Amino acid sequence: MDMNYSEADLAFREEVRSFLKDKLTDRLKTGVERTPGVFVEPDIGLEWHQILHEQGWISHRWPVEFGGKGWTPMQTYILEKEFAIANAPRPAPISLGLIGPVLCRYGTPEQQAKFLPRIRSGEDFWAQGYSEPSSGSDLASLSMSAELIDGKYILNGSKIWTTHAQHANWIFCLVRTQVSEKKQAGITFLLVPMDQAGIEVTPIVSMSGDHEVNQVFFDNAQTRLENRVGEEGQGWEIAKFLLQNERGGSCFAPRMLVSIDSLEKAANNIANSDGSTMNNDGDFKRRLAKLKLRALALEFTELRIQADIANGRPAGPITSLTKLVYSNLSQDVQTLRNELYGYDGLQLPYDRPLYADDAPQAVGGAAAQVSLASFLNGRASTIYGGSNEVQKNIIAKRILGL
Amino acid sequence: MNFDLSETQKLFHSTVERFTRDVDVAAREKIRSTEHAYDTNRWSELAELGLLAIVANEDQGGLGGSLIDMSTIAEGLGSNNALDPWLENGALPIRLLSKANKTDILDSLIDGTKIAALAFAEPNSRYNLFPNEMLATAGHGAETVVLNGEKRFVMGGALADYLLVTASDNGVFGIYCIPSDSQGLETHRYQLSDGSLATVVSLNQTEVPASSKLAITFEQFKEVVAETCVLCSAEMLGLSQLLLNDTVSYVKEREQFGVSIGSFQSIQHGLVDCFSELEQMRSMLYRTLLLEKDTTADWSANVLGAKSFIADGANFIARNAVQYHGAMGITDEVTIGHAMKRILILSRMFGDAQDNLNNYLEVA
Repeated sequence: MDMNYSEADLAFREEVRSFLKDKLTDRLKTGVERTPGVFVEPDIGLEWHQILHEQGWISHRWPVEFGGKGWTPMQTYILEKEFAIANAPRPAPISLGLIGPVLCRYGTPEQQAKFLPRIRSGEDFWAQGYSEPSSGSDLASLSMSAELIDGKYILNGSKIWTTHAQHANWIFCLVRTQVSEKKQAGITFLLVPMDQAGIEVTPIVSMSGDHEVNQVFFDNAQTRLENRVGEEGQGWEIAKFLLQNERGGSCFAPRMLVSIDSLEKAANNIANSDGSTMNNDGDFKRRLAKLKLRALALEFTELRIQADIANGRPAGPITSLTKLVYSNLSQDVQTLRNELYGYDGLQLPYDRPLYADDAPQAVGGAAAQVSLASFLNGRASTIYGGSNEVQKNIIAKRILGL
Repeated sequence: MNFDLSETQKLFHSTVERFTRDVDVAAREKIRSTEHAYDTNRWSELAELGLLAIVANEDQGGLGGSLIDMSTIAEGLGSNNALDPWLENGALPIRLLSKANKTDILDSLIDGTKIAALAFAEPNSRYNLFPNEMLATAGHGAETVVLNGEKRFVMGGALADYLLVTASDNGVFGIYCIPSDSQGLETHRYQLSDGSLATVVSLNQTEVPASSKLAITFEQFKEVVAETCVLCSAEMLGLSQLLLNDTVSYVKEREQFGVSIGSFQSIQHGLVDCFSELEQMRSMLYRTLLLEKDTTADWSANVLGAKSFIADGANFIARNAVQYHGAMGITDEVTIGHAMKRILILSRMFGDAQDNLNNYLEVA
């Protein structure tokens, strides 16, 4: 058992630090700090994307032959940790973390040659078409149809909760190509261009005031046969690969720890009812310390998974655990943060982005202004990507054998 | 980065596993009902297996084991709910004497012929480690010291040949290693939650050689306490794994309403919560074992934070294990109750979760 940094690791850390010092501008950092959700707006996200692309790091987690870096888990961890400490934006996770790895694994050489470079360059921005109005946790019951006519799939139905579909030029969809007894069997994975007459995007505003998610309507929309990933009926297998990839090898904890530390610093300047400051409040300090311990444990849970992957032991359903722990923890941090700000934590501006010049003036500082929106936005984390209840079903069945 | 056990650690783990697996609830009850609530033949065997020698340095006749090695043993003992007081009467006193380089007594502890117990807790000090009520004063001769005061919660006190008594000499900390049959020493035995026999120790004008005082500072003592807290955490992790395993097996077998109760979603989700705690506890233990020791004070505070976290998790799992066993869970016949009762001791040894958390606040 060891946790040692090699000379090469330390050199790499220096490289990452000096890169961040050079390239991560105040504008980008402010963009992250003043965005309630985890997805930054494209003006911030794409600018950072370009910088990472020029550096050659944008797709570092992909297989080497498709533009990955082949880093050790320790290097990946160092990068994520330094990015977290510096408060760097997270580049579009749907493009880089979801569809990219799917195409590396299941795409045809033509699909790989066409799409992967455009994901890396940021030319394409992807949305994920999974949930439907009647298919949430029971994803396999989805009903959006795709009928193959003359080398084209004709799509009818709708997808919902599609993050940033208003910015996307491509969407990957799980569609039903066959109504079969086993509902998982007739599902197919298609890539669909957004810029066409048969597709309409309708915004859904969250209770936090954010426009992140949408409903996307498909009315005889089309995509060519060559945009099918895998075979007809293989969609469920690909969907499961994507979800495990989404949850596997995560590095949630470093950002969580940075967030907890910032909460501690903020408490130094917030008055308590008795005239002292909140950093002297015993109850606050103990709540904060408990959150920190949970985050420190999560960091090692993630490192254990990384080490397993590096030793050729696939992560599997344990990744449901990190998602479960992380999402609960992040909500508890957001709750404590919002409560810390007292009355100032009740402001809820609907203007976006909050870092714009004409955004409303913050009462009690920028962090107070964004804290309630962040708390409300964060309620989604135990619902998206498989709700807590679904994750627990997965762990109960596949790990505990119940 | 690597979280696998070394070959030697795996060997120690399987040694402990073999040594402890055959003591079922009935065997345990039998041993607990003997005079000292323990079978000292087991202690000799434990010594022969090298499980005591590993705690002391090599130049002291020990094996010079690392904290990771010792943690492997503690976890192994926990995972079979062992009744052997390796932690409180083996690792803890041997570590203290090793730190003080008290070789004349160490030999007999390492070979298992003698057993020592630490007398640190006082009636009016709750979890404070600094002795206030046990006082050391100059004896009649220049070479003697007189001890007066009372200690409680002397774990394994009934077994002990030696007592390591913490005392204050005009505000100066000291640990005095004295025979348990010293003059003026009275003991009252009482049963702890794991069935072991602790003692209340009263010292009344007990005069001992000045050389009984160990060469150890309060800071060094606290470091050994912190190391012991790591081992408490490891044993609690082992016990929690046992509790979860037994409970998962039980809900698979137990049928009600014509189906196994493990098919009910409320029970499945409750056990997933336990599993989630367990994995987080394991991560916390690994983190602690790999923590760099920049300063001893910071390291100790981090250890106590970890113990607080692991103690909360272990108690959570224990209570749920009892719940999911239904009425069987509250009987003295199933292992889980005994595991829960051992966790209660470990989680409160050297401070409970709340007290340990307060210590952690200094570095959090």
